[in-house]
Amino acid sequence: MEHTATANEQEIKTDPFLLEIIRNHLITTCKEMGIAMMRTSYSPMFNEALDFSCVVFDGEEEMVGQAPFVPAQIGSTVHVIPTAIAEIGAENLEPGDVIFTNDPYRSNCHLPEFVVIKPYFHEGEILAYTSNIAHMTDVGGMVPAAFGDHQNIWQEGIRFPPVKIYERDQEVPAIFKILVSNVRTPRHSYGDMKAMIGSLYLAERRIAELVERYGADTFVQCCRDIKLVSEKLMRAEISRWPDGEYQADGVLEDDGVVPDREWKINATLVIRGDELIVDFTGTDEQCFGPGNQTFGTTASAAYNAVLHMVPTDIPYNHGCYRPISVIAPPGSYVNVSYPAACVGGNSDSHPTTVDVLLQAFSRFSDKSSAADGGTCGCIGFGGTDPATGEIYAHLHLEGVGWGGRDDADGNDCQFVKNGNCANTPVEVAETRYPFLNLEYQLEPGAVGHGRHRGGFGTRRTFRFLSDGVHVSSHTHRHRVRGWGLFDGEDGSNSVLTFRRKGETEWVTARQAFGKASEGKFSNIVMNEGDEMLFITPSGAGYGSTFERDPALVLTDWQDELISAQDARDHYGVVIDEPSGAIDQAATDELRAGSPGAG
Amino acid sequence: MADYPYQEVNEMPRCGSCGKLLTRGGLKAERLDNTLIFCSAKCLEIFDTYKAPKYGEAAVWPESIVG
Ligand SMILES: [Zn+2]
Repeated sequence: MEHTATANEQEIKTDPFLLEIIRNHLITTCKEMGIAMMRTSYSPMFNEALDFSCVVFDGEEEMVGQAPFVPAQIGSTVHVIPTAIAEIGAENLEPGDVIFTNDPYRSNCHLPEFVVIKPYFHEGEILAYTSNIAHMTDVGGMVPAAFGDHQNIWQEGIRFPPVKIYERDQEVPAIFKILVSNVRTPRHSYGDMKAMIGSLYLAERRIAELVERYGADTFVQCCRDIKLVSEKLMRAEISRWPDGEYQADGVLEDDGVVPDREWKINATLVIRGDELIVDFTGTDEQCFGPGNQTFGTTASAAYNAVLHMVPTDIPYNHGCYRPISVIAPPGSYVNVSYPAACVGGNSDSHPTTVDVLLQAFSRFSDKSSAADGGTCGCIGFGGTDPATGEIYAHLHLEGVGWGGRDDADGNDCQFVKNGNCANTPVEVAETRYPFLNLEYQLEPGAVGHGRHRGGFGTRRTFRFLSDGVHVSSHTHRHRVRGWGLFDGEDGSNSVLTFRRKGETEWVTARQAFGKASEGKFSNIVMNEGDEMLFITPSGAGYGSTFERDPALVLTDWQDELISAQDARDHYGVVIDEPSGAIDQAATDELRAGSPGAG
Repeated sequence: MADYPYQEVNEMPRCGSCGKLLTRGGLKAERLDNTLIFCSAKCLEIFDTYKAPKYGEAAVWPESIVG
């Protein structure tokens, strides 16, 4: 049998200085694409939340350039881009063509993720593809801004298999007409789509500059070597991990359709020399609501977890992914089959999948981290703005607390691990949409305590300024908490409640609107003066609370993040409140016992 | 759909190892009395060296059987 050279047997052929120049040129190209999208797009999802990712693929249809955008999207591009190209056929592409798809079953993350791909031709040959994947706020379907308790793909919105949206530098009008006539915000969708495609042209110019300067052969070889360097580094890291099988599991609390039924994600890390298999066999079947993950989401979550466990100086590109194989049973929660819904798999199941894998890594490594808040906080608002008469759809994202880790507390109020998204500033949201933010702060007290505690979630209260605001949600951790590691405590829960104008009681969607879930529901109608309270979950703790440095406990008390009672109950640290100092003798006595005993 | 040249995703196979939908191409191999399809030689290798030894006949997913 013919021997194929392994990565370790292959040599880097490009001069190392040139390799770095070209590698960084490709990264900068991706960053420049992102800036162009931010500056030319219409929706806050693009220009404020930055929910998009820009990549460059080589002629072998493998990723050679990316920048720190959204991990969930970047990981899926490795699969959705070659899948889309294969279906159209590279042989059917011409200069100036752009492929478009948002089909989740074809290895995309979920329906709102729009993917555009442009081949770069040099002397009749495709040398590269420029591409981006971006979250379109509204995709039609049964709720404004895409997130709710859908039960099938048709309720989720409009789906495009891979099609050409540009042919020879010209718009294909039929595709644009079908798109804008099926969404609530046609102006935004058209503007955002043009921003996406514009960035492809920009990137193509930058790649052409490289090819003109260094020649096509050098460019092609360099792309191969960029991937090979990363593959070698990645394999070296995996080789340091002990061979074996490491299992973990975790649940999603419900699917928005069947009340109180949990859905299990089971994972086994199989380490064999310099290769890693991430096996999801044993995961529950696909659910009835939108929490299912696509294959692209699951593969992306696997890459995300692994990249948390390796040094950050390994250049991220296709080479990183080569030693990692995923096994995702079709029709399961981690590999949805048509026509089941899946919009929430990319927002709320992905973080749990990553945390399950980090739990598995903790079987042999202390570099893992405790579970984070586990939800993107996706709450969609839609209606007709009384001030303008225009139909609007807005997707609200919110930060959560991250899990404690071996060398630090979890971050506060940060978007979960699957995205690097930002929140939409209060001023921007209030200028564009008819609601007011009454409060927005960290949520003190509620946190997963530990040697390194979790980060804090947030608390925000909205007041609606007009009638007929449709509110839909896909949020998680209302009942299931993120798990602590190495005796750290579990994180806190989400709270999503409503209060009609003049009422004093806050009530959940389940209590007041007959929904199956506190966090996953569609189209609750809020009117002028009604209010909504959203508290996001904290991260979980890492390590025993009694091992936490008392000075850090005191700092948290001084910052009004924990009470003196919390300090005593969770950490065995006694704070003398009048003096603001630690009572060392009382602390020593308490800490002579074990956490929770006092 | 016989009367229009579009194949819906439930008519397309999934790789016998990773489970990815294959819109086109793939690698066919006779395994465990079935003709299975794989997205790559790597996935076939994972099937032979890990999946089949570990799970036996349960390693075969109906979605990956192609004729
Ligand atoms: Zn495969």
